[in-house]
Amino acid sequence: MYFIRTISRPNEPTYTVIMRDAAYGGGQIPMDEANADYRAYLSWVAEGNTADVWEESSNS
Amino acid sequence: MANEQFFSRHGGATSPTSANSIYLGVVLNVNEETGKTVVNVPQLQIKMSIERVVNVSKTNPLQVNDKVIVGYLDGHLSTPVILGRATYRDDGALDVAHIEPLSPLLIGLAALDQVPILDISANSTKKVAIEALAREMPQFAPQTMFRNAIINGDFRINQRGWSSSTASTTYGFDRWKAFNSGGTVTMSSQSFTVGSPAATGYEAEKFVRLVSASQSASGDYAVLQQPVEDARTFANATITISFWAKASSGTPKVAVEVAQVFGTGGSPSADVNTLGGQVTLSTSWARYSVTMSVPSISGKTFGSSLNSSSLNVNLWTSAGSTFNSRLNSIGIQNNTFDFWGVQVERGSYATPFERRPIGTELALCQRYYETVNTGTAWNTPYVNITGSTNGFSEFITYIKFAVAKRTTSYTMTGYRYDTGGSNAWWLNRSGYSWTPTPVFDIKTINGCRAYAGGAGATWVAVEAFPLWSCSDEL
Repeated sequence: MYFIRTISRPNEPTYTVIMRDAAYGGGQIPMDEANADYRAYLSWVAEGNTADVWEESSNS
Repeated sequence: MANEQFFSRHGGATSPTSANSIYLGVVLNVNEETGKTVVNVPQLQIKMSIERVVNVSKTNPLQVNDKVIVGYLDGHLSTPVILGRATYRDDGALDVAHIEPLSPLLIGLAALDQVPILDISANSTKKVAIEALAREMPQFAPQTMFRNAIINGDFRINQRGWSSSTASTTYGFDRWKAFNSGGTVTMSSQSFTVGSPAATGYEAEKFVRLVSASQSASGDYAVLQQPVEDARTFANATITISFWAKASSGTPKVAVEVAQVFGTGGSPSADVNTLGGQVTLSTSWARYSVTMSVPSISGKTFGSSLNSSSLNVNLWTSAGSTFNSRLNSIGIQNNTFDFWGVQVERGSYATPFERRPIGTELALCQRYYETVNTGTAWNTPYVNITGSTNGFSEFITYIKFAVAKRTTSYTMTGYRYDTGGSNAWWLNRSGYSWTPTPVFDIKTINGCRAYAGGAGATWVAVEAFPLWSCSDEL
């Protein structure tokens, strides 16, 4: 349902976002507790789930 | 025409001694031939019903607590009339030459084509006053428009193009979500039959339906909710929550609750849930209202995250025994509930449902959700951007929101215009197309950067369809 995606770009800091699976509406979710989608992700993790690593080609 | 002046004093003082005091009143003219009295306010024509007639004079001023007269607009029994304000002069006489009409927007509550007759023929003194002029001034005068804290209370805005969902906490109509535990709870968009709205004079296109099925456990529940931004909203105030509703069968109850949620980040105070009351539905549309006091937030701690607190308006349609004390035992109710015209406003009355201009309503919604997603339509000029890749083989652009967002921590989603699929864009350069996952960053409340790599070439022309949505819901 969720993927971890690391954003790496030349000359910029690397950071991480959560990607929601397209089947659940998709979306790039910031790792910020202020975001309701991220809180939903935390709840999902708290249930014992683990996010996969995002593969760029997985949804192309 | 003889002039008569009628006033009630706002504030409860016993004598008119201060020239600075605010009074409320209306100047009436009496047609001596017919015995009819007309409201003498330019451009204002209102049909009123009279509850009680009271003599008013300098030595017998109306007091706020007097049981006097309430006027109603065009049969709206919850809408007292407030027509204007005046002061006493220094000599103690009412300064009737300077009646100051209240906001034209308030007067706009009345249709101007209503009968301009105030019938007090049974009153020998032909002097009337309006109790609500004083009592309801605090409710109406400061908030003639935008009374309704609920956004999209008539379900006109549906930016997601949503039709039905069963997942808990999923947003459907803009600003509205359902959540549940146990069984299956389906929220769906429904259409009124043209000419058969929930209430006469309130034609509308859509209403929302909540269907609870297979709930049975003590912890099961179903709720229709709108989180109104900021837990300071209506804190320590009297509010009235109103809505039209019906059920498919029987006489189920709806528990009306507000929850003060103090946000995220840091150590916010725990939620404060306050039950306003219950209403019992029938199988026909009817308007229901609950008046309640919202608790003070004195001593509460708000979360540190920007604009993260809320006043959640909860319409509970089913709740097991776990919630008996919280909701006064509405119980498990597997039924179909329809809602329309939800309004939450300050004061003790449910005023007529406020329908704001649709462009205004859309803008209010877009603080929380906005999209440029035209689906799979080809030849979509708005989003057909011709640019070029940069030195990193990326197509890069800036997304500018139509409305500033609530926070900078929103969820961005990209869409392919060829398939509608999410988490991808469709991009094209000479002899090569690709569907990368766009990255959204450098977020401000006004917009963000977006780019997508994988072009395989630098500094080459690109045709792009960068569709997106931004969700910043509470």
